[in-house]
Amino acid sequence: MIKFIIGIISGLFSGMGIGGGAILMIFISLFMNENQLTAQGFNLLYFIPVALISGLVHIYKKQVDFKSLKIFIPLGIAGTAAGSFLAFVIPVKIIKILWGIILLCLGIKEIISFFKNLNEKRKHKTLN
Amino acid sequence: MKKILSSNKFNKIKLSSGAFLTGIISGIFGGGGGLLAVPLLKKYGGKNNNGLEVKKSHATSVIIILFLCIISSIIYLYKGSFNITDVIPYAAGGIFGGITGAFLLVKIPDKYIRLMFSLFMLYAGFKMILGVFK
Repeated sequence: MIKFIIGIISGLFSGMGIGGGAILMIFISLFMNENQLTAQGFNLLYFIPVALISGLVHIYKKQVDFKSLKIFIPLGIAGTAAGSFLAFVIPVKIIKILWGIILLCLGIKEIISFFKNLNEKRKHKTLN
Repeated sequence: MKKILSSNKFNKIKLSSGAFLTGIISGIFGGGGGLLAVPLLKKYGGKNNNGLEVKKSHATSVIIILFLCIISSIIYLYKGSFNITDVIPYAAGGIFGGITGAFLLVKIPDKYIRLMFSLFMLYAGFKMILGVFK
C-alpha cells in the first residue's frame, strides 16, 4: 500500500513536469531502505511507460525535432550503456554523495526561482 | 577563431559530445538525463544546430529519455539490481498519479508546490549525504 502511495506521489509530480523520477528514487532509497542501485533501476523502469505516453502525445502535436534525435539517440545510447555498467563499478557511497549534491543543487535552484518570481510580481505591482 | 567555435559544425560536435555525456550520467545515476538534454537541445538542437525552442526541447528530450531508460533498465535488470515484479505497485500508483497530476495541473498554483518540492529536495540531499557517513 505504501508503495502504491509513493507511486501516486511521484506520478503527481512527473505529471506536473518536475522531477518525479528524483522523488521516486528518494522515497525508495531513503525511506524504504532499498539498495541504491535497486532504487535507480526502479526509477529507470518506471519512466518507460511515463515517457512513452507523453512522448506519443508530443509526436502527435509535432513538437519533436527528429533531426536532433538522429544525432542524440545513438550517442546517448552508447553513453548510457557505458554509464550503466559504470554504475555497478563505482562505489555506491560515491554515487550517493553525488546524488545528494544534485538534489541540493536542484533544491537551491528552485528556491532561487521562487524568490525571483515573487520579486518580479512585486515590481509589476509597483509599476502598475 | 570565434567564428569557427560558433559555427554550425562545431555546434553539431557540441551536441554530439553532450549526447554521450547525457547518456553516461543517465546510466550512472539511473535518471536525470533530462537535466542535461533539455539545455543542450535548447542551445545546439534544431535544423542548423542553432538551438530549439523551449517547448520543442522538452518534447524532444522526452523521446531521448525514453530510449536511454529502455537501454539502461535492460542493463540494470541483466546485472540483477532488481526484479520487474517489485516495481509493479509503484508503477500502478505512478500511472494513477500521473493522470491525476495532469488534470490537477490546471487547478493548483504550482508556485507553492515547487517551494515544497525544493525544500524536500534540500532535506533529501542532506539526508542522502549524511547517510553515507553514518
